[in-house]
Amino acid sequence: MAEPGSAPSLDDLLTYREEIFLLCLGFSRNAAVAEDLCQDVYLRACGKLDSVRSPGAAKVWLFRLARNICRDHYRRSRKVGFDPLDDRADLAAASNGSEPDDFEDRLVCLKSSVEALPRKLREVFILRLYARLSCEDVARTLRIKAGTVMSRFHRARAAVARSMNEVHHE
Amino acid sequence: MNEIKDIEAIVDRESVEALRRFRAGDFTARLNACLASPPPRRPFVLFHKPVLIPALGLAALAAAAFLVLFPPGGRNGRLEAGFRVMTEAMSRSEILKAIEAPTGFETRSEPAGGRNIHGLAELLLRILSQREAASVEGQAPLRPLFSPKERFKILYKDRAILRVLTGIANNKEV
Repeated sequence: MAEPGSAPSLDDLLTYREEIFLLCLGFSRNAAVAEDLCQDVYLRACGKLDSVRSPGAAKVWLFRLARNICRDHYRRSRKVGFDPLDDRADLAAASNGSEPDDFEDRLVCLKSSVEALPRKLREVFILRLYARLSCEDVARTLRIKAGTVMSRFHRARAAVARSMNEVHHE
Repeated sequence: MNEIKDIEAIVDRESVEALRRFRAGDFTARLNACLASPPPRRPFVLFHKPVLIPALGLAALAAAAFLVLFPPGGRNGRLEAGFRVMTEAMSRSEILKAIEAPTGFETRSEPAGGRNIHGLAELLLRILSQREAASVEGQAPLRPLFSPKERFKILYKDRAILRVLTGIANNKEV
């Protein structure tokens, strides 16, 4: 780990690579895009390591950078207005021969529900559930209060559950 | 309460399956390879290529992009080869830049209904990745990857692009 007062090293940041990948997975529609985004995050981070004032803040800084890159990607992908191919083929490949069930349908439904959330709720939902950050870390990443994080997460989860429930009963 | 547990279970399962693939790709090695050579000649490896392929010069990449967009006689094998060079050597954003260079298209700020190069690149990348996955598993031939609705959308944008995409998607031999 980096000495107190020194800039973090790439190795320090790489300890979070799986969480960053999962965050990117939450924002994107498939794992291939998430890998690209994850790589972009680290390439961008490498060029800005000196701007991290304290090594203790590196984790929050990295997640904030990842959130911004994912958000830019999300905006661009909406702006060009091209419907991505059905993810089911990817998901079927990812399930690696496991027993067929309705997981793929439910996942597509979940992704659509998360995408339909307002941005503030969606970000909290992804940071908490996909990146598995604590409420405090999400609060620091988004520069909001921990109580606000809890409130938004509760609302986001309820909205997603409601949306999925509606689809299920259609 | 059940719905909330359901959501967490779905996310967990998606994460576990995606992480399995992510770990198999040796992310650190890819990143170090990218960092080892200065931009814009960074070797990128997409879709878990078994080996790192050094990036070509920008001129060659632009030529490959031109070949994809303006096919001489519609020879899918050559088109695919051209795009394969790009996908193996570049990141997604670099591919888009390479397409922009010879054509003059602005891929990021194109108004809705215009020629969607971003969409084209996305589609081709997905096709190639699925073809590779299938060839690894020995599954052939591949099913067409486009629904009638998607075909219409592509047709609406550009007939030449449609021919290229359907040719590659149907695994045609030329």
